[in-house]
Amino acid sequence: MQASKKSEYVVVGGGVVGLSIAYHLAKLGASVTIVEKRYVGSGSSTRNAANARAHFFNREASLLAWESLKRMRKLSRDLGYNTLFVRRGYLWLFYKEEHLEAMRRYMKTWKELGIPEGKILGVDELAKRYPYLNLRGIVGGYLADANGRYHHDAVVRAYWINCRRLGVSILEYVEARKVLVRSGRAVGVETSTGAFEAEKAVVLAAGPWTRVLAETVGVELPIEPIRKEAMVTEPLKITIKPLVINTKVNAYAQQTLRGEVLLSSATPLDVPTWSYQHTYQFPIRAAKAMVETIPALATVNWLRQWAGHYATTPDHNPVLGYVDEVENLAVASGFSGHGFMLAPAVGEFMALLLEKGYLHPVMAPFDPGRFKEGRMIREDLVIG
Amino acid sequence: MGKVIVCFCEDVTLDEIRKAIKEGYRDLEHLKRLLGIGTGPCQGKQCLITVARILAEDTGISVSEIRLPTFRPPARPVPLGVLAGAGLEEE
Ligand SMILES: Cc1cc2nc3c(=O)[nH]c(=O)nc-3n(C[C@H](O)[C@H](O)[C@H](O)COP(=O)(O)OP(=O)(O)OC[C@H]3O[C@@H](n4cnc5c(N)ncnc54)[C@H](O)[C@@H]3O)c2cc1C
Ligand code: FES
Repeated sequence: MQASKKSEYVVVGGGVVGLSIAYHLAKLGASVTIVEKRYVGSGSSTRNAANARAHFFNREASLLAWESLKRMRKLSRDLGYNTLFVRRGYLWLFYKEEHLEAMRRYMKTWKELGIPEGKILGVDELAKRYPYLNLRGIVGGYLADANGRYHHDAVVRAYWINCRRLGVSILEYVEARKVLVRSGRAVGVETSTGAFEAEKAVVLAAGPWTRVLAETVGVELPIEPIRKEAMVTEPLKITIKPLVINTKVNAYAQQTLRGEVLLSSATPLDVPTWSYQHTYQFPIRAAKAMVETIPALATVNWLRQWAGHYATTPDHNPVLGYVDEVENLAVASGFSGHGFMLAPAVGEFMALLLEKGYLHPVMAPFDPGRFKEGRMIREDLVIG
Repeated sequence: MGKVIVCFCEDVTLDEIRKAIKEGYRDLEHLKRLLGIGTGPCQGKQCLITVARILAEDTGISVSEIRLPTFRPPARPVPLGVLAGAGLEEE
């Protein structure tokens, strides 16, 4: 396909967010070019744990996540490609009474917002339902069964195929080097294969690299590339249904659709770095935490570990919309640990903003100007 | 000719690989994610080089230009219990 060097929109980044924005723009009739510096999905979109939830610890994030979860659940139908969503649920395990109390308060908020509020499970109930758990030290759990998992590769592929069908030009191994600005207005991007013009807007959906590209035109975005690791084992018969979260050390385990056990854990090595280098400390820490929680995992073989990025902002929430400093320059990044699940709603809302000038009220609180103006979104409860 | 298995761990055939290449998946990373090649117990040590060769033949790209997926630890499967009890003190 010969790449046209002029389109209404240039989207930088072929991750799930860039693809979803491009798909929704094209659906509204716009012409779109995506430039991706490596292959489609090569950033965090193929490195994530594939979980989607509606339950966050503030209203703004919960509302956005709920809008997205509803769309994620019916994505297969909308995109005509099986994205393999399953409602496995999230199970948070608590070691402190005060955390259970806090969950009870949040359940009221979620209920008010129309989000299925899930339920608290006592220790006896946990033992009955999940006989594989070691309950020592645990005071109770919270099960949110509206949540679930998608297949990240299938979702990426589904958007990709639909983008192509709608005429979006997707260019792999083309790296954006700089946003081009004329009279205070973004007009395109300079890339490794020449300039691409954007008649209506340039959209930066480049994960943590969004910050670097914004800097090329003097726009400062507080987004850090925090390295995050994950690992999988050999596949087993699916027994561990929900995503099991050990809130004491902030680690989790679950089974993928193929039955592999996927583990992750916070570590002191979750630091800002561009490197995808794995560490030897991570698998030890994740295995310790989750073998303690699910002792039967001790005999399961570990096969693979990898690293990706959380594009992290000071309030752990995304940056969505036009920047103030340059006209026609929009961003969608800073998703921290939960950008994939937000992609269905974010793509749709960003396209409405760009093509129709409509700012969806659920997306409005996430504007890039909030950091400078001190309107951060407060995360009230950080467990762990 | 009967079925030709290229990825033994994940049971992926030559025909499946050729079909995916025809559909436009021209990167080992994409083939890996579409078909599961390279994700079995050997983590691609037996099959990825062969798949690279097939990709080269079918697309006319030279083998040396085909990007191999990153080989990741561990080199061999390790039980989680061994890791958990590793007794290695973290830094
Ligand atoms: C271990 C781990 C577990 C996670 N678990 C979950 C989870 O369970 N649920 C969830 O919702 N989220 C999870 N996440 C977060 C999620 O992966 C991300 O938030 C999401 O994938 C972000 O998508 P994106 O499209 O914004 O970014 P990316 O997928 O990173 O895409 C950005 C793309 O931009 C490209 N790019 C960068 N610079 C340039 C340039 N100059 N020119 C051209 N292209 C460029 C990159 O190559 C990349 O492909 C997890 C992340 C990690 C690392
Ligand atoms: S033969 Fe393909 S992963 Fe082992």
